[in-house]
Amino acid sequence: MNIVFVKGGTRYTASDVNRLARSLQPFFEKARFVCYTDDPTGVEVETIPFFKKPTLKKWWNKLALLSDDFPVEGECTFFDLDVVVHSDPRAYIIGYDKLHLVSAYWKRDKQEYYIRHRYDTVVNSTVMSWTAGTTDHIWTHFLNGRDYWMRKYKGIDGFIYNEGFDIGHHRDGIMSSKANPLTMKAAIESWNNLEWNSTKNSLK
Amino acid sequence: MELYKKLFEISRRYIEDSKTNPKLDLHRVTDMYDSVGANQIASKQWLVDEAIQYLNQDDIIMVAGAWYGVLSHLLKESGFADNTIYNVDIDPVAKEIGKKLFPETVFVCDDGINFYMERRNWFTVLINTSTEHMEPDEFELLIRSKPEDTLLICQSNNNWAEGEHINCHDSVEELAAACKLKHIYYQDSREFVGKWEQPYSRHMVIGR
Repeated sequence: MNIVFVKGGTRYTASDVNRLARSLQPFFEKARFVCYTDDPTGVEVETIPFFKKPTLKKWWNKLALLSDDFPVEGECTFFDLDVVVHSDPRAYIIGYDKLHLVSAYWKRDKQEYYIRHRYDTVVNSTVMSWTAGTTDHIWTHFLNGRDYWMRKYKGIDGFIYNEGFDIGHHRDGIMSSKANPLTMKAAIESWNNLEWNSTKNSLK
Repeated sequence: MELYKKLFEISRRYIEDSKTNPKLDLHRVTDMYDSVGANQIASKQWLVDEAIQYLNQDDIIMVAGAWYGVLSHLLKESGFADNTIYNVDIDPVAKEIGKKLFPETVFVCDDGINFYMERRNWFTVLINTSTEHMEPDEFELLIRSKPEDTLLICQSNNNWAEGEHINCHDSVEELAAACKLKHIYYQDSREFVGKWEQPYSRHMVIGR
């Protein structure tokens, strides 16, 4: 098992990686922890440098994890850095046979997110699971139209959901979104990019 | 006016076809409209207005990263109707739409840099308005492969806010230096307002 993080630019820091790795360590004792990053300074887990090409910004770098060139083997679980772990997430992560993502419970029952030409999404990539070597078609498809996809979609969730890949979903309860909290207690709480930097300083 | 008429016709066809073809990509309509948005037309008309004095009737022109070919249309309308203009873009759908919009120009689906490298002696003019989208080392390769007597017309900007902009230039002087020209005929910047209302500068350099 590989536990994978992505840190690019200055929005997130080595401290974010180290804190999250420590939070997850008790649940994945035998896992290899890796951080895919453009700056390994201060990161206490193994680092994998960003691919030299293509140059990507922000969340688009998460797609590189799905490439056959990403140097890991076996099952992988990815976590965004703006999350807090409340309990063991393993029971909710049920699939590695193909790419699995969070089902966006706060969107999936609302008709507006299915309006065809909106190209929105009802999945969320805060937590992803897959087996290395089985998802390169997603990365290749992205590379084949990179600039167009980045104009069409706000992020990778829309790209993955709308481009017709065979994907699965984690069990509900894997994640609660800070902006749209789940009624049940979730294993992971995600800030989904919102006000993370003003919150994280109060975390241990 | 003719440009918008054609664009409306093609986008209307897209919307009609989408009623029976659930896989048809309706974002292409937005993308087509964006290609003739105010900033796109202003920056390309600026290029045409300034480049016109350096272009000849027998020039063979390549536009790298041509998108739907709007620039080639503006050039054709500005007195270069008989010139051969190659629109090169890696997006196959851009070629498909471009051929419908501007059948009088040539569309090639290929990586602009690879295509130019293999045929650099075909062209007397190289136009690149997509510098900010290119990997810096690949842009340098393009520049270094340009024969000395080929006219280069190059635009870039300092709009780092866009996700796909990976090779911006903070000033026209920086762009001019990156173009490595022996003779610079023109260099200037103009102010634009971006998608999120942020101001940015677009730069243009013309020379050999």
